[in-house]
Amino acid sequence: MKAKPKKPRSVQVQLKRMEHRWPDLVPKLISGNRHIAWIGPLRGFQMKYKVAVIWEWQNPRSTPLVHVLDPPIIPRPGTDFIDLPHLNYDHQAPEDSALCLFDPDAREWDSTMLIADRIVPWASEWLHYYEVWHLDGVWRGSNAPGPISVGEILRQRQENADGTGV
Amino acid sequence: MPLDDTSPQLDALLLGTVLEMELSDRDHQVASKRYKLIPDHLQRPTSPIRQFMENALVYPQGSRAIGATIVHGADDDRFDLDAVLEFRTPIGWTPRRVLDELHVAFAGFPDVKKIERCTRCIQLQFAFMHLDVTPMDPDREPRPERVGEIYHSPDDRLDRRFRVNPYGFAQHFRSRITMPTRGFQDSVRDLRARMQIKDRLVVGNVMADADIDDLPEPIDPIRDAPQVIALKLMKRYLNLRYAKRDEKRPVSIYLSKIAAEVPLSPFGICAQLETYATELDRRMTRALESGRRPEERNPALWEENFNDRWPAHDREMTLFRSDLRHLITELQRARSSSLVDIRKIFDDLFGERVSEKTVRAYIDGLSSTAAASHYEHNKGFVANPAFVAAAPQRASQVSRAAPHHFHPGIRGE
Repeated sequence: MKAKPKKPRSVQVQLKRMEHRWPDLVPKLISGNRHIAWIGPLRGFQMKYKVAVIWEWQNPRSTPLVHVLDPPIIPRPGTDFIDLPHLNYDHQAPEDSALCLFDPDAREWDSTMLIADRIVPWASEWLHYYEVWHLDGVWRGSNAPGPISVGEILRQRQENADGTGV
Repeated sequence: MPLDDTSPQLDALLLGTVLEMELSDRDHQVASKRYKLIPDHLQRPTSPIRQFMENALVYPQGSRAIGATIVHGADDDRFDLDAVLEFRTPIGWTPRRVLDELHVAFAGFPDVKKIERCTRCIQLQFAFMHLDVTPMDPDREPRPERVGEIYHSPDDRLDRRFRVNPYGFAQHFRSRITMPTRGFQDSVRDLRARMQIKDRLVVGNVMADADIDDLPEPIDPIRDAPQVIALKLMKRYLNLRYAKRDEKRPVSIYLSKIAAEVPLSPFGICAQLETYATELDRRMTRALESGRRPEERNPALWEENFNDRWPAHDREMTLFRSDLRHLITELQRARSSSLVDIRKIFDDLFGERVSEKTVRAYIDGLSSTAAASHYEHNKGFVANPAFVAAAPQRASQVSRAAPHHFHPGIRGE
């Protein structure tokens, strides 16, 4: 018998699980009640960052985004936001870029999953590797195949357009 | 003060710091061999005191007896080890004569570079290792186990004898230590293997490599107990603080006794060290306020006062207390700092060379392979879950998150 496709998790389930696992991330409605933002502390290597986990709750199939509020993420000296590994890069406001936490091609996230069990732990892990990356510029977290930063993506595109790419 | 919060990554760095300062397994064997050579050397046919050594007994005291040996670190890569040499005082010998005769008898000890006669012991100086051998006159039988008198013979004052029981103290210390969970011990062993602690104790021509490799000995597991780890970190920190001062420092046996009295923290190594420093601070403050100096006694021999030589002045206690407060403040700052800043804090607390290697070992140990990662509820990522479970009674809950790959993207594409 063919397995029934799983349903997206409801907002109640997501809220309850977040409250259970991450009680210090406090939910509030923002942008005219369209989004839930769980705001609170999350550990990086050691220090805590204030983060916002934002989810378009009325569209349960939407992907939650994690933004780092305080202290803000910054590039390494001499580089730019575009060189920060694994950002969901906002080219209009790079400092507002969200974190890119999973490989969409490998379907590592879908709406049947729990934000509390995946997105939030992955964001904490991202912050841990971000601090290590700040030491020597080497990203030691797991990488999806391909470039690790938007800067690399754009450079590859440019090289392909110029016909200089390998 | 966040003594009640876990800090698994900070704990990993503190643990790495301790491992970087340890004797390697081979160094342990070299040290053991040197302890064993003491009676052999003093009983050799040409030994001037051979006739008094028939029933001599040698055993470790101090850091070696409680698993707390670390490289000194302030001046060079040197381990300071201590031994007791028990033998009856030959009739008519003064403390001065015992120490003088022993000084002569140690001549020609294998691999030794220099032999110093100190006020209470003979110091055998090897490359990267000093071994202080303290002669002791055992009490007459029946005696409480290994109680005896040591000799004190300064150049400018009268000879004296003191009753002591270092063996009894080591037994007491061990009974107060709570061993960490099996998972914590396994993780420490893995980290130690990964760090590949370098051998520091080189053996010379006299003692062949084969002598060392023949007798691998089990290493004392007490060295990995968080109370002992906190003691080693405190000793290292104080070694650096006192290196450029012309001041007497708190004696190790006093620090050891208090370290064992601080219960195992369920919050990890950083919390253990913070609690320990806070307890010492409390004792200094109480002593300063009451006008009475601490008198920490040997639980195995009440007349032995560990504070007979330190502190001699309030100034020494005030200085020590300011060091403790600096340590507590800096650990607190590390708890809310980035890794880049933590490394700078560790440079100051434990020395640049050690902290650089420790951070390098940590980041080299990270795997870029996607695997289930652990996270502590309501806190975040945990690189090594065993470090938040040192105490049998855990202070936190840890779960796994599904494997995944980080991935860059452009919003809107």
